[in-house]
Amino acid sequence: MSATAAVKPALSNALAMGSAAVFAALGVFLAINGVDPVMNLHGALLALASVLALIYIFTHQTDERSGYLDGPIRVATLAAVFWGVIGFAAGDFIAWQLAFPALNFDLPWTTFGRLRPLHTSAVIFAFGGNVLLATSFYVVQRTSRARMPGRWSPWFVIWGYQLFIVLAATSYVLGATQGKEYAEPEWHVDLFLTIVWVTYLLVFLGTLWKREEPHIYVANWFYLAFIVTVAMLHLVNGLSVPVSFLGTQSYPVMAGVQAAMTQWWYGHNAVGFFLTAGFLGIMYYFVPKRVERPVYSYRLSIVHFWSLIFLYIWAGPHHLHYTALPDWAQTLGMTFSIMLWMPSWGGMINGLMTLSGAWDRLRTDPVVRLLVVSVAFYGMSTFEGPLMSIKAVNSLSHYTDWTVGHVHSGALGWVGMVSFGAIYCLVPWLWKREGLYSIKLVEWHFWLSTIGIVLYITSMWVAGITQGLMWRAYDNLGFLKYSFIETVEALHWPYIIRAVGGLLFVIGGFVMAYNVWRTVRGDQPVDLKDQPRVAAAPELRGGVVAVPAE
Amino acid sequence: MTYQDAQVLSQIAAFVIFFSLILGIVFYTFRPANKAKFERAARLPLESDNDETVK
Repeated sequence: MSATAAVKPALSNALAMGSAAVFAALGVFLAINGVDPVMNLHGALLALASVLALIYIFTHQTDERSGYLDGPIRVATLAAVFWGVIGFAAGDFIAWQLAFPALNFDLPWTTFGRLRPLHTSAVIFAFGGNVLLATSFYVVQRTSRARMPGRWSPWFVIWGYQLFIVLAATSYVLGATQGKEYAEPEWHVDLFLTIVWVTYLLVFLGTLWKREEPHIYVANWFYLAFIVTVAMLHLVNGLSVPVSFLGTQSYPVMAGVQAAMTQWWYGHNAVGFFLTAGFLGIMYYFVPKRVERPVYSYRLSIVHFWSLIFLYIWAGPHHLHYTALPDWAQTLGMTFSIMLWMPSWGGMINGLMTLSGAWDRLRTDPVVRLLVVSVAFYGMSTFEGPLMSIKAVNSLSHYTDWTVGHVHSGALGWVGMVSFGAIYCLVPWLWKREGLYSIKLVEWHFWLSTIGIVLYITSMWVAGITQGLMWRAYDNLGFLKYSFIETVEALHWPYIIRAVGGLLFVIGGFVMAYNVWRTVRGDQPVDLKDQPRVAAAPELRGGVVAVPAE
Repeated sequence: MTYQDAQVLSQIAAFVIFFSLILGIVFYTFRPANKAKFERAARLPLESDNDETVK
């Protein structure tokens, strides 16, 4: 027993240090021999990160392995809050740019075109991705009753992912991009992410492999579908040929309508599997956990899972209505999008009805309110999406701000709020606190976000429909009634209202960051009496475990 | 084999595979023998907080 315990970390440490040394050498090589400044910078960043990892591993060789491995989860949780605030602020800044173009500052690095992918990647991959890493590692260990395998692999997943974020963000600002929505990183960053992601998959599978609980809980199915599908999407949509192995520039393998279809197969399933399946994993663990009630219908959750993953994968073509894509493919995309109403609403009902017998929590616990309102927004945006995929509706909505509003009711309302709920649960649990620093501030965060989202989506409905109607208006001689710039002028006020809504959401993010920081620091909670028992870390809950009545 | 033949064959194969897959899932979900297992599974998030025993 003790012999294996001593040998195993030695092997892990040696492997980890060896890998770090290889990455460091590669980084130094690219920093010196890279043919463009972005590659030089990325080589230097890779070398720096690898050397820091090497030093850390060298000085931390003894393994105090007992219980769940929560260190990487703590890092990912803090990273989610950190990147979240940056990503929300970047989004609101570009919202103000659209209302006041002077805010582009006439500098290449601060133009809308470069900051927009910075915003989308920061909120989806940096904020959302870290929330998914943190919660999936937390949930899979608890529901499997097993510690994550590997001494350093989980740490590599978390820190490697942060390095990926830094590499991606620096590329966009410096102008290195593949130009594919949500898949902007160039080939070398894609390859690095592939290594991190495969390690993530192996750590997740390894935990399931070691599980003491015979049944694999449904949240893990959603997480696993998210990890596997994102790997597949990333590999296929990322297929490209670099001009030089020492430079960032590359060309995609596919061209024309095939490239467009592959891109939106990727893009829509990034929505379906990254922003939906992964976050449904959060819903299926954190809603029951926080309200201390079992899942409303476990059978429904199984049907929800299989129908959702089977249908989502076909919905991508609705992004290419009225394009060179063959009509049959457009109709197929529309049909599958409409069929998605069923699993989406089935899932929503399952999440909401889990509160049966505990509806009072909605009034007394703002964390529950965040979780429940997120599920309501999930229902709303998954109703709106299929509606917009209908070709007749799409002819009005496509290329307008209605699309932007739809995305944000899903992203801010569903993904954002379910993540905030999960973060407020996780922080006291992971740092072994009796509760959050302040539940009152969660209340503030809830209302700031909710009002912000309402301003955002209503102004974008108005903007989108106005835009769509102006574009299709003809005079009695058959000429277009409005020039493009007139439609831009008409959107000035909706843009300002949207930016104000976004600002409220950003302020909410800062309130969360403050609350998380005070909780992590260990400050005495100011309103512990108002917090439910479940807000405390498991070992500090005391008393008898509540057994909900059947 | 012509393109047309390949298309028809693959469509039939895909239909059979996916339709039986869905039937299998529905059978697994609603099989009375699984009822107790799923009822226990629905409570899984409420357990297993204690990490003393984890290996």
